Amino acid sequence: MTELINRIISGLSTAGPFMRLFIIIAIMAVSAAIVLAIALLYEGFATYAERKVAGDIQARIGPNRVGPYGLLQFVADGVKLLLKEDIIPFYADKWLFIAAPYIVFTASFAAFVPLSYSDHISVANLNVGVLYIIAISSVVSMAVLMGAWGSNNKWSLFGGMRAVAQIVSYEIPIVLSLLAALIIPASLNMKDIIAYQSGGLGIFRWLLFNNPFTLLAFFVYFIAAIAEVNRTPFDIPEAESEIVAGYHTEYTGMRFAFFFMAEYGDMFIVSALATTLFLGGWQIPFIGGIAMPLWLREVLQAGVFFTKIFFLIYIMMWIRWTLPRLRVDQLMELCWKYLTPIAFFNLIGASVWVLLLHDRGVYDIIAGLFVH
Amino acid sequence: MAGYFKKMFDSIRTVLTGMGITIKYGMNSGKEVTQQYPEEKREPPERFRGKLFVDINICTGCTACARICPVDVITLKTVRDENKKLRPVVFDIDNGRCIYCGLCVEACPVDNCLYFETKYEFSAYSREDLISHFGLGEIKPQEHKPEEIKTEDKKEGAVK
Repeated sequence: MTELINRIISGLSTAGPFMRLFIIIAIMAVSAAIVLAIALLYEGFATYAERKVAGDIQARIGPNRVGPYGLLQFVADGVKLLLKEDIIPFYADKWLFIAAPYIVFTASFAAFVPLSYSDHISVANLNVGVLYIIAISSVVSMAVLMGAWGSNNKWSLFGGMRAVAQIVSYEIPIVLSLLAALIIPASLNMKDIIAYQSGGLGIFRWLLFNNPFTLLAFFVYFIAAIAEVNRTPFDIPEAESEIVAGYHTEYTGMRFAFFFMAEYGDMFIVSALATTLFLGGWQIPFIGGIAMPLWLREVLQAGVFFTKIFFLIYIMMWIRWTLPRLRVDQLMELCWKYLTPIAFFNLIGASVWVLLLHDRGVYDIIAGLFVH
Repeated sequence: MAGYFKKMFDSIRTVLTGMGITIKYGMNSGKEVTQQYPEEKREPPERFRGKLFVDINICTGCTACARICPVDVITLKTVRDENKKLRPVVFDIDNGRCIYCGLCVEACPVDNCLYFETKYEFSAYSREDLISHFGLGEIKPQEHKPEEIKTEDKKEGAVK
């Protein structure tokens, strides 16, 4: 998409500077609208999928009334939420209370920007893509605390404090385990990271299989990522049996829906990050080497990318409907006594591996044996 | 240190065991236990206590049921006909107040006169609609055929 933009801009080099600025802004707005539409559609179907998966696991049916197989359930839910009364508590800190859901949703949506959906499709090809996602998704914790404090409600405040403690703690194993993978392609650019994982039938050169440390790092990342997006078994910030609904206790209607959509958006982001860094991103497995038209390749790549993401999201839902909630002390113990030391060990191990074996992964070594 | 790793492996093992159980159900779609109630209805058991029914033509009008009822569901009024037999002219059962204890069914001395049907769907818009009227009315029973009684009941708004 950036190349397309560049082509349009170079074609319009004769236009005046203001005209050019206007065109750039227009292109930005259009691409943002497209990504927002896709993100909202995904979030709608994710809520449907969540309920269906829950139904399957609990031997129920799940939503099946609205539309075929209940597929339009999210439309009904959305209309319901829009029609709900918008309540702002009298003693709330109104500015913080009103701003919080927008910041949560904006931060969650902004993380969609540097994702590389296929070889040529991405909104912005940032050279610090991974860092950007980690940074922007941390804004969520600030907004959660804003909403929690602004609600002027003890359950909200408890939930917000728990959320911040949890997100800040779990950022550490997340970043450390990401680093263990990032030192191999030595780039923070999403596209470069995925391009590094080409070859090996599109599977064996995944960073997941690069060395034992990255394999372990993937699981550390995935556990910590579930905690970072506040999903069961790490949903203590919104533990409904302990603190009503946590930081969004006082929110109603669309304001609540923003928090809800941000949760599903974050799920997508952490899964996309795991896919990009560990699971080969949009590398087409097995048939990637066959010559095919550009559009077909792009569509296949995007399809592969989304399939991997949805697989990870399914695993998140599967975990959610299996495990009970952790206590606060268990949560902190898991983070500080298990995940963080393992992540440090991983980082050192992966660094030593890269240093000693000169960037070659397990697959490269095995393939090298046959070439010689 | 050994305890540290044991705890780690134990937690991984137990998590995987739990996830194995849930995926068995998760992949088994089509074996849901849910019944889609209005579309598919459960067959009630033989002795299910549903709506009370009176075969008014064999009722002797003894009022045993009305007297034993702990919540006064049954309103029974009888008159003597020309054969000096008791005829129930009013036999109202207020289904909204019935507690389905079954005492009236046990008290009824006539076989298959007062009994529970297996019907369980008889919701109505007003409490009056919940009263079923079985009485033969003030007119002499000889002049009546069962079909006519039915139509008369419908006019009164009985829900059956």
